[in-house]
Order: sequence, then C-alpha cells, then structure tokens
Amino acid sequence: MDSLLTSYSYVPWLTISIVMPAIGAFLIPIIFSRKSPREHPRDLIEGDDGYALEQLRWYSLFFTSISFCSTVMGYITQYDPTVSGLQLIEKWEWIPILHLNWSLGADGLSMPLILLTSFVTNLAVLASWTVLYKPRLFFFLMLVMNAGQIAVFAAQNMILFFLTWELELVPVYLLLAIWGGKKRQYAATKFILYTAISSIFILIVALTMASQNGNIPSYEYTDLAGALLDKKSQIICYAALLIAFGVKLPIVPLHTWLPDAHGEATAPVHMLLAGILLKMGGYALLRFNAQLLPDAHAEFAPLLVLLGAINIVYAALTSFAEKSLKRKIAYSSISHMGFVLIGLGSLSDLSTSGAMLQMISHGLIGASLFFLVGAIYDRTDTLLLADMGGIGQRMKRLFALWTICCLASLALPGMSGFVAEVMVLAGFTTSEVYTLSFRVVIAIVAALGVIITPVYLLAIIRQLFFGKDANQNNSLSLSPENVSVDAEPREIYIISCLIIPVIIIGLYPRIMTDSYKSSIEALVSRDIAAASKTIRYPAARLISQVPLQQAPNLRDFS
Amino acid sequence: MKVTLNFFLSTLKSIILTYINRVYNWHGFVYLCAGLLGCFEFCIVFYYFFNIYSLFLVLKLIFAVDPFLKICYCFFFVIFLAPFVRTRVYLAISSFLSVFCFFWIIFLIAFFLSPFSVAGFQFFQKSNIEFFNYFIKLDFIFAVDGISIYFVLLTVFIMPICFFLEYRNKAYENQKFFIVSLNFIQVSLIVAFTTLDLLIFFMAFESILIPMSLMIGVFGTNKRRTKASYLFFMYSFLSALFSFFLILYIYSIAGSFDILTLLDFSFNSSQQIFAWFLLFITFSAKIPMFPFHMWLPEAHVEAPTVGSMILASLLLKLGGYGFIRFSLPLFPYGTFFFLPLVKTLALLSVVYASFAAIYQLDLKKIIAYSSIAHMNIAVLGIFSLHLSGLQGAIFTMISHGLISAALFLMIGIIYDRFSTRSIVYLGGLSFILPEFSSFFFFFMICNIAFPGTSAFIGEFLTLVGIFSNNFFIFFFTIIGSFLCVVYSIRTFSFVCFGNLSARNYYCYESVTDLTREESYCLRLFLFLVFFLGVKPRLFLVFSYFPLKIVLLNYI
Repeated sequence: MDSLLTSYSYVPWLTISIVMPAIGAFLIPIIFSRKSPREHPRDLIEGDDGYALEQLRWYSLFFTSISFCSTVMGYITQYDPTVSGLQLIEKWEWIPILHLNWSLGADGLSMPLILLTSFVTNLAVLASWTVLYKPRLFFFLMLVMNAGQIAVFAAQNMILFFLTWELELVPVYLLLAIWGGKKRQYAATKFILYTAISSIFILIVALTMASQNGNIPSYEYTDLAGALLDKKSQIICYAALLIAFGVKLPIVPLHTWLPDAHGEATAPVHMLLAGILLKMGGYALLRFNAQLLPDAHAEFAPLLVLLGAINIVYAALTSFAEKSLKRKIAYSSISHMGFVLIGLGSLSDLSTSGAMLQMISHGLIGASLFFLVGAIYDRTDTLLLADMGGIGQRMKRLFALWTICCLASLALPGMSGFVAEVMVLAGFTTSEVYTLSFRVVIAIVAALGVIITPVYLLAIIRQLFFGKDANQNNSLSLSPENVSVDAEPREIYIISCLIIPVIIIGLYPRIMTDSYKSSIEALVSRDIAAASKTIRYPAARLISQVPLQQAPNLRDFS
Repeated sequence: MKVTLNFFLSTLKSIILTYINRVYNWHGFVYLCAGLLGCFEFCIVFYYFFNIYSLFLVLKLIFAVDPFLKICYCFFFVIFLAPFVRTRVYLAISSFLSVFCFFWIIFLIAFFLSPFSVAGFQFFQKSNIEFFNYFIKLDFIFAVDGISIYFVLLTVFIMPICFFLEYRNKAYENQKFFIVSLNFIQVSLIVAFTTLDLLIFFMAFESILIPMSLMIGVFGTNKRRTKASYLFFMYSFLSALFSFFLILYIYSIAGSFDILTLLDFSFNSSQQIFAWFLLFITFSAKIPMFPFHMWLPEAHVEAPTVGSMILASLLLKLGGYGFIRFSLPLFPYGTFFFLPLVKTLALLSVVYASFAAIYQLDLKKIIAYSSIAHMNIAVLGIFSLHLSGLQGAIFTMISHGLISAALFLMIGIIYDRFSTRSIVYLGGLSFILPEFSSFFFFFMICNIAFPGTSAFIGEFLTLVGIFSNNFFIFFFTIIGSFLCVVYSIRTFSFVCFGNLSARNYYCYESVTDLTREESYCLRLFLFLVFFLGVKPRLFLVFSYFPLKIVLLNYI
C-alpha cells in the first residue's frame, strides 16, 4: 500500500471514469421501487416495470456525468498535449499468471476518443429518457457500456484490451435483442457472431506477439512495441488484426452486420453504436496496426487506401437504394469511415491526423443524426421514407435541427467534417509515398463519394420535411396525438451539445488537432521510416503496380 | 495443575491408541477413539483454560489426520444406515454429511494444505487391508496434491447441490435408492481422486458405473433410457476392462500397485507403449474422445437432471485426471509415442463436436456436445506438455464442471415446466421467466469462455500451452471456440428470445419463475464462476509444483 501511494501520488482519473459507472451499474438493483417486480409474469409481458423510472434516469445520468467529469479532469490536470508519449499511467497487477495488468494510460491517440466516449455516452443516457420498457436493465446496460468503452480506449495491456473489447459486446447484444425493432433477433445474433468471432483474432495476435517477446511474455503495449517481430509474422498479425478491427470499423466486405444492427437499434443505442463502437475499430487500427506493426503497415497501406475508397463510394451508392431511414444513415456512416481508412493508409501526418479528426467529428455528427432519426421515429412510427413527408410545417424546430446535422454530415465548410475530409484528401494527395497516378485516381474516387453524400442526405431532408403532408392522404404516419409535437427542450439540448463542438472544430480545428498532433507525428514518422527501410525499391514507386500484388506470397509462410 | 492434566491426558491417549493399534491393527476403531478422546480433551481444556491453540490441535486431530479414510468411513456408515430410517430423514442425513464434507475439505485446504510442498503428496496415509494382503499386496493409500485437490473440491462442491435439489421433489418411488446412489457416487469419486493405488483407483472408477447406469435406467425420462443406460455401461465398462488387464500386467512386472513405487520403476519402451495405449482407451472413453463418444449424448438426454449434472461435471473429469495422474508421469515414452494420435483425436473431437452441437435440437444434446468440445480442449492442453497448458487444462475442467452443471440444472428447470427440451418448441421464455433467462444468458456467456469468467482463464492458459508447440492445432482449437459462440448464442436466442410458441401459451398461466432453491443454487454457481474468473490465482497456486514435477519427465 505504501509503494502504491508513493508511486501514484495523483488521482487515477481514468480508473475512476471506468469504475464509477460500473459500480453504479451494479448498484442499480437496490434502487427502491414501490411494487415488487414479479407479482405476476403478465406484468412483464406488458412491459415497463417503470416503478422507479425517474430515479433511474437521474441516477444513471449522475454516474455517466461523474465519468465524464473525471475524464475532463484527467485531461485538464495531467494531460500534456505537446508530449507524444503515454500519460496518465495507472498500473496495478491483476492476474499475474495471464500477465494481465490493470494498466491504463492515454496518449494522443486515445485521449480525444476517451473524451468523446464519455461525452457521447452521457448524452445517450439523456437521450434514453424515452425508454419505458424494462428501464432498470436498460440503464444497467448503458452504464456497463460506458465503463467498457472507456476501458477499450484507455487499456494499455493487450489482454485487458481484449477483455474490455469483448465485455462491451454483451450489453450491445442485449440492447439490440431486447429493445430493437422487428428484426431484432436476427440483427443481434448477426452482430454478436460477427464481432465475437472476429475478436478472437485479437487473442491470437496477442499470443503471437507476446511469445516473440522473450522468456517472460508481456502484453503491455510498450513491451509489444519493443518486440521486434520479423516481417512475415508481422504481416500475419496485421492481416488477422485487419479482419478483427475491419469488422468493427467496418471495412466493406465485412460490413453487413452494421446496417442490420443500426437498423434495429433504438436511438440511444444507436448513438453509441455509431458514435463510439465504430471508432473502436479506427482507434485499434491506429494503435495496433500502425503503431505496433510498422513494417507490415508499410506493406498494407495501399490496400487500406483502396479499401477506404471502396468504402466511400460503395456505401454512398448503397445508401441511395435503401428505403429505410435508419439504414440510409447507417450506410452513410460506413461511407464516412472510408476517410479514416484512407487517412490511415496515406502515411502522412496531415492525413492521419485528418483521420483522427474524422473519427471525432463523425462521433459527434453520427450520434446527433441517429438521435434525430430516433426522434422522427418516435413521432411517426415508421422508418420508411415513402411513408413520410411534409412534416416540416408542423415540426419547425426538428426541421432546423435535421438540416444542421445533415449539413454537418455532408461536410459543409465551417463544420468539422469538412476540415477532416479536406485534411485527409490534402494529406493523401501530397503524400510522397505513392505515385501520382494512384493518388489522382483515389482522390477522384473519394471526391466522387463526397459528391454523392450531399445528394442522398439532401434527398432525405426533402422527402422528410418538404412536399405534401403524408398524413393528409396516408394514415400510416403521424398518429393523431403526436401531430403537433415538435422538438422538446431536452432534444434541442442534446443536439446543440453535439453540434456546437462540431462548429467550433470546423472554425478552429487546432483546438482538437493540437491535442494529438505530437503523437500522430511520432507514429507517422515511424511508419514512414519503416516504409523506406523495408521496401527494396524506391518508396515513390511503391504503388506503381496494383496494390494487391504487394500482399505477401502465402507460399513463403509454410 | 493444568500442565499436569494435559500431560496426563495426552500420555494416556497415546498409550491406549498405540496399544489398540498394535493389537488389533484396526484403524477405524482407533480413529473413533482418537476422536472421542479428542472431544473429551477439548471439553476439559475448554473448561479449565480457553486456549485457541489447543482448540486448533483438537480440530487437527479430528479432521486433518487421515481425513480421506475418515470421510469414507462416514459415507459407508451413512450408506448402511439406509434401510433403518425414513426417506426424508435419510435425505437430511446424507445432505448434512455432504455439506459437512465440503467444509471439511475447505478446512483442510485453508489450514493444512501447503502450496509449496515440493514433495507433492500431502495427508499421506497408508493402511493395508489384511484380507487382500493374503493374495496380493494392496494398500489403501490416500493422499492429495495440488492436482487432485481441485477435483476433490469440485466433487464436494457439486454433490451437496445435488442433494439440495432433491428437496424440490415430492417423494417418489425409490427415492431412497436414488439418495444411496448419490452417496455411493460421492464416496467413489473421493476415493478415485485421492487414492494413489492403481487397483483402488480402478475399483472406484468402475464402482461409479453401477449407481450411475441405474440412475439413468431407473430414473430416466423416456423410454430410450434403457438403451442409454446400456450404452453408458458398456462403453465405460468395456474400456475400463483394458485397464484392468493392464493393472495385472503392471503388477506382474513391477510387483506393486502403488504409484509411488511405480514412479521409481523404469518400464522399457515397448511396455510403456502397450501400457499407455490401454490406459488411453479407458480414459478416452471417459472424456470422451472421438471414436468413443457416442454414449455421452445418449446418456445425458436420458439421465435425470441430477444425473446429468454429475455426469458432466464430475464423471468426465475422471478421464482428464487419469491422464495427468497416471499416463503422463508413469509412461513418458508412451506419451511421446502416441502424442500425434492423441492430439489428432482430440482436435477431431473438438471440431466434430462443435459442428455437431450446431445442428442439435435437444438442449441436453447441445450441452453434451459442447462438453465433449471443452473436455477435448482440456486434453489438448494436457498433451501440450507445457506448464500453462496443464494448468489451463485443470482450470478448464473445473470451470466446465461448474458451468455445465449449472446449464444442466437450468435445462432440468425448463423440462420441469414445459415437459420438453427441444428448442423448436421453446421460445420467448424471457417474457415469462425473466430471472431464468438472465441466468441462462450468463451461463451461455460463460460457456463461450467470455473474459471475466473462469472458462476464459482456463481456455486462455490452455491456448497458451497449445500455441507454444503447434500453431496448426492452435488454429483449429480456435475454430472450435468460434463454433462455441455460434451454438451458444443460437441456443440462447432460440430459447429465450423470439415469440412465445403456442405450446408455451398453453402453460403460460401456470408457469412460475425460478423457485428460491433453484435461484440460490444458480447464484452460487454464478458467483463461483465469476470469482474464479477474476481471482484465479487462489486456485492455480496449488498446482504449480506438482505439475512441474510431472513435467520433469519431458524436459
């Protein structure tokens, strides 16, 4: 205990921000309720053991706020943005036989995302005011998710990372399966199968990397970075991790769980899925693939760029064809994640920091859009665009909010999305690593995606708000008691909380980019060094061939 | 005066006991006397001066000297008590003894078992049985080390729950017989896990077959129970017969059944190959591994709930324990010779059983196939011949014992309420049985080795061991884990989510959620599984030195 006090003389903010929501979650069963919840099973079928609904809401908001405040305090008091190394280090031994330590820390890659996570989760709890069915379990799961998500970003031990990565699947599975839409079983099962199975690759890679480390395996990131794997094993590890994180990001051939899951989730869950879960994939790609496996990253970078371009265009085009509002927005977030991939693969610090900014800005914009979709669904009871229309006259405030969010999402100049996309594309096109022709082709394809995005987003706005009121000729939408309900103050508050940072970042991006600049620069310079060192022919000619030919020859591994 | 009294008492005691021991060579009586005198001494000491140390000494004398033989005596006493008391009273006595045994073992571990004993075997006790010694030299040798103590602990933890679950039922025909069988199974398991004598081990190993197959055949659920019982008995008995011949063969070579003697004896290579293979047939049928696995799903489907729990959580462990205790230390050359065979079979079983579990409709069959997969992952861990792999294998077996027992209990709960186990007829249970559904979810999550549960620790350590010697095997084991996620989630969502089927509407008004007893049992399991997942060190610490010694042959 003495050594513990002397070595950690400061407050462990990260641990507090993880443990407090968890404690809050496990104390939920003791919240007082008036009726016994199990008087008759029929009570449960009719839903809603809303006996302590009000207390539950404020209670969970309180705990998520504590979590948010402690991450902010950690950022203010102990985080120095000019340092590229690890800060806020907290390390305790947990299960020595697995070499599993409770070791947390934050650097430029994780600190902004930790802040984003606690912020968005806080707002998601505020957004779940509308949940009436089994609120006790719902808020329990939200708090557990809060803890698990922050831990994913803060973990500095690969086994701890795997543990929290898996831990956050269960709440999402239950949140989808219990509170989802009509096809919720299918969506939830698909989600957990995709992500649970892909995450086993993380375990494989952790074992592989740690076994290269010498006699005493250690899963700390710092030790793994020191382990010099040979190029072949790096490439195998990289490919495995690309599958694991590509499912989460998602990268296009592995994306099919996402429209289903997003299409069935309720609004708060949706905010978390789009705002944070997708960022885990991007963060993990940065953390493991780019940082720990630089040699393989040099080999795979063109593939990432190509996949990113495919993501952007494919998802944007698919979004056209979708009829459901939620699925449209879901595909739009896949499209936005394509920029993250391009930024990761570009091997330039401007572009990589653009990718980071894209993650943050999509975390804010995506969450707000999905929240608004939920708000529309609450009022119209339908998700099919064909059944909607002309509600702009009745819901003026909601119309305004929708317009702002859509403009933010389509990267209007002055919003953070624009800055991020420009940074990614500018950084990529000026990157010295790739040939000019490759750069031009990818830039054109990505720009095509950027052009398609406004088209479908504005089409959504048009179909939703303009035109004839669908209620006049179609009795499906706008049930009579909801006709005059416009956005309530709570909803306006949530959206403004999400949009104001978007505008601030859009006008003055350095407020965000400075916080991770040095980390990204250190990361990219290492990757570029690896690229120039390991590739035999000049780096400028790297991508003159088709990128897939750069992939390893499998016969060499046998 | 106090000192004189104490001195006088202890002298008297030792004189009497030595005399009885010399003259009659009858240990049971000696222990009884020791216990009575100890109680007497305790009363006097407590009366004159309260001294915690002397209390401890008395407890040690009663409980920590030759504990396993005492446990056996207690059980045999209770078994022979059966005709003389009424069923309910008998149930009370038996469950009391079972719970008492649990605390007894916990007491031993807490105060007397040393994790750092390099010699390995503790509570060593050797008493010869005169009747047998006229023909062959047969000793009751009891001892535990860091390997067997886990299995003993699992036995004394699961069995009280089985007794406890009997209280749920109304009295039925032959209930007393059922309870006697449970007692018999428990004492046989304790003997099998603690004895160091090959012949005694196999006597205990086979004596479980009788109560178990009767349990399946008499108390089973369907008409097919006779066939299942027959299959179970035949597979186990015939495979064990090989080992019986082997034991005679070993006796003819080495002249002893005692493992400690056999460890010093050096078998030549052909003897080792022969012996190892015969042992392998016995244990692989028990685990069960691929060609000999057919009895397990049949037996599980037909067995009553308690029978399934015992079968999955305890009986299968005999095979894994046998590998670690007998095959590995005694026949290292044989192990090396058959390493490819056993790894291939185990790998085949993992993948095959996982695929088979995906297509099953009967809940019990799903869990039975998943048991096969998990036990074979443990076998792969054992034969990775790596410290982590072995530790992980033991941990996997223990956690599988807990989790599968809980799952079979839950399936029994479903069957009690709906009279079906087919996932086709079930659905939407989360609406009518919310507490049940949440427990079912947690145990399914445990079954897929979710981080934070004991299964994860076991599987992870096992995988470390497997990884350290063969990537190919590691890869296919991982595929087994993939498939485990698939069938577990499938089962859960079929049973608990979805719409209420028409059949369930029918029972809908009458069905109640978990009763208090069931809920407590499941909570106990859940607590243990998560506790072992978060703090595994308490339980891994004992196995370090014994496994190091086992692995000395393989450096």
